[in-house]
This record gives sequence, C-alpha cells and structure tokens, in this order.
Amino acid sequence: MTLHFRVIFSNLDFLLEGLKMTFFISVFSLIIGFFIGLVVAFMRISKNKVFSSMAIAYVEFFRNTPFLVQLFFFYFGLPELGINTEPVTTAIIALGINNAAYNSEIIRAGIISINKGLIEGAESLGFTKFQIVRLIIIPNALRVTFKPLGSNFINLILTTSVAVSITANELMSNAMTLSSNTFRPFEIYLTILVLYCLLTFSLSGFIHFVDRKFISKGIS
Amino acid sequence: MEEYIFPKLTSYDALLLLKGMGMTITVTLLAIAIGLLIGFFIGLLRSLKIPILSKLLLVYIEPIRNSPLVAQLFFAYYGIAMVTDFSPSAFQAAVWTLGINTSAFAAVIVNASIRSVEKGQWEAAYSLGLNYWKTFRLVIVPQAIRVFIPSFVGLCVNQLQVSSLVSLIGFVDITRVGYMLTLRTYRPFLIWSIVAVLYFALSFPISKFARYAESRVKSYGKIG
Repeated sequence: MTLHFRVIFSNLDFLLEGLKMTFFISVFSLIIGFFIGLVVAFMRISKNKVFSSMAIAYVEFFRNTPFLVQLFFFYFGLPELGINTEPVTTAIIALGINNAAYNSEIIRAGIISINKGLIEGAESLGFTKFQIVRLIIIPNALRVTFKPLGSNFINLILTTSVAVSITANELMSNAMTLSSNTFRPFEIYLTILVLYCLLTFSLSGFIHFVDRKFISKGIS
Repeated sequence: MEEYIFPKLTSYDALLLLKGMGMTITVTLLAIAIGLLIGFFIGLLRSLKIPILSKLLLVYIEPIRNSPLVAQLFFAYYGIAMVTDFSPSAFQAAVWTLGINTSAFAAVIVNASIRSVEKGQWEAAYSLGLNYWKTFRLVIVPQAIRVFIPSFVGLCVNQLQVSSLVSLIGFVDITRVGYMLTLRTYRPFLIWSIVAVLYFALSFPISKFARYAESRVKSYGKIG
C-alpha cells in the first residue's frame, strides 16, 4: 500500500475552487434559508389557522423527506414544468428551502421564549415599537436562537456535499472529478474529509466565540 | 414525424419501488443496530469521565459528526478498496458507513442521557451498598432512558433521511429506484413526488412519536 498525496498538491487549485463554490452555495442558501425560516416561523405562530397549518405542512414535509430526493425533484422535476434549472442555482434554492424548515422551528422557539412582561414593561416605560423590537425582542430572541442557528449553518455546509449528485462544482463534486481522473480515491476523499472537518471545527469555534463575546455576554 | 410516446409506469415499477423501500428500511435498521451497539459503549465510556480516554473517544466522535456522510461513503466504498485487498460491496459499505456514522451521534446522546441523571442518585445508591453495575442498571438507566428515547428516535428519523445518500454509491434503495425509473420513463416530476411521499409515509409517524415521547418526558418531570 503506497499513498500518493502528490495528487492533492498538484491539483490544489482545483479543490480550492470547489471550496470557494461550497462557500458561495452555503452563504446564499443561508440567506434564503434564514428569511424563509423567519416568514414560516411567523406564519406558524399566527392566529390565522390557514397560515399556521400551511407552515406546519411546510416544516413537516421538508423535515420528513431526504434532501437528496428534494434536490432531484427540483433538478429533474421542474424542467418538466418548463422551469429550466442549472446545478448551482438549484442547489442554492433547494438547500435554502430545506434549511428554512429547520430554521423556522428554532426562530419560533426564540420568539415564544420572550417574556411578555418584558414587552409590557417597555411599553409602560414609553418605548416606541421600533425601540421594543431593537432593544428587547431582537437581543432576547438572538440569545436563544444564535447557537442552534449556527449549528444549523454547519449542517448546511455539510449538506452542500449532496450537490455532488447534480455536479454543482463544489468541493465534493470536484473531489469526485479529481478521483475519477487520477484514480486515487483514498487520498482524495481522506483529504476532503479532513478539509470539511477543519472547516466545521473552525466555524463552530467562531460561533462559540461570537456567542460568548457578544451575544450571551453577562448571562450566566 | 412520428410523435414519441413516453413509457408509462407499470405495475412492475410499483413493485420495484416497494422493493427499494424494503432495502431502505433494511439498511437503516441495520445501521441503527450497529450504531446503537457501538454508540452505547462509547457513550458509556465517555460518561465515566476518564481523563485521557474521554479525549481519545472525542477523536472518534467529532470527525464523524463534522464531515459529510457523502464523503464518508465515497471514502469507504471507493477509497478503501483502492489501497487494501478488502473491497466492500455497495451494501456492506452502505450499512457499515451509515452504522458508524450513527454510532457517533448515538454516543453523544447516550453520554448526555447518563449525565442528565444527577450525581446525588449515584451517591445515594453507593451509600446503600450498590456497586457500579447495579447502580447503573437499577437506578441510572430507568431515569436516563427518558432523556434518551426522544433524542434517539429523532436520530433514527434523521438516519432514515440520510440513508438516501447510499444511492450515490450505487446501492439500490428507493432513491436509486426513483433515479432508474426517471431514466426509463422520463417522468421525473411524478416519480420524485412518489418517492418523496413514500419517504414521508415512513418518516412522519416516527417523528410524530419522537415529538410525543418528548412531551411525555417534559410532563413527567413536572408531575413527578
């Protein structure tokens, strides 16, 4: 058994290109996932029965079907309806929609966790609506949601690898291409595993740091 | 010009879908069994808080939890066969990779469940003359299992979803059947809807049960 890690170093540019695409897909689907999640969370807690049951259906459907099937549905199914799809855009949209289902539950818990008395107290002190949102609701909701949303984001980055199935040219896809070109799957996939680990470890360290320094500051 | 007629779905295709569903269930159950077995021992060892061993076990748990399953599967299926004499079949690679993946998550749940039982319970049992195993079996497990079950069922739901990824190494589970039918009939919209509904039918009752178990655990703490 001889290992040739030369393959990695001579094709580092190609892998880094994939890493860049992974970042690109992750960030855009994070943004989409957060905003859809926010909307779904508010629909879920609204008193309107139609809105809340629509939100429940959304969350349950996307949490109880595999992401791979959702991705195939978007990528292969939508062209049948005349909507043209392209791998990277499809991956971003599918990931965003999928992640939103998970985000919405966290955001909902964050909204529910806010003590009504705090808002009433602020109102009686003459705070404006905008001040209440800025000074009471957002900081308190952030304290509950920041870390779970962060681990959701890490999960999202790991899930981008599923886009290998539609060759979205992200890290995993490029690794697969490289592996079939050079025939050194062991070295390549081992490197990829380590790369993903480094990425998620450093990100979760960063999330803990931000949480300790800025968000849960002064809370024991 | 003659118009091309797309092939229709036949009853044979329905049978294929059911077979694929059976394979999905088989792989998931085997993986969960392996994961629970390994995860239980690792979680138990972690709960003992032995200084160096605890850290060593984290070296097993964390990389698995922090790398994508697709990469793990490709590594096990394509990578290992390339450098050793052992070349696993798609089924073996699927079951073992998914099983080891499950074990890392299960270990965390087992460890957290054991630690959720307060220290006083151990001390009280020891002072009554129970040894480690008796305390663990008679005092700790009955309490820890309440924390364990909802999270573990949640993990099972998750592993059922990610078991679809084994189709990427060519194992014929329900997702692979869906892929094959898409190529044959060219009706992706219909077929992926059917596959999604089948997964939903498997997964939804289990996740409902997880939610129910969780509410039971919460209400138990309030009454008891």
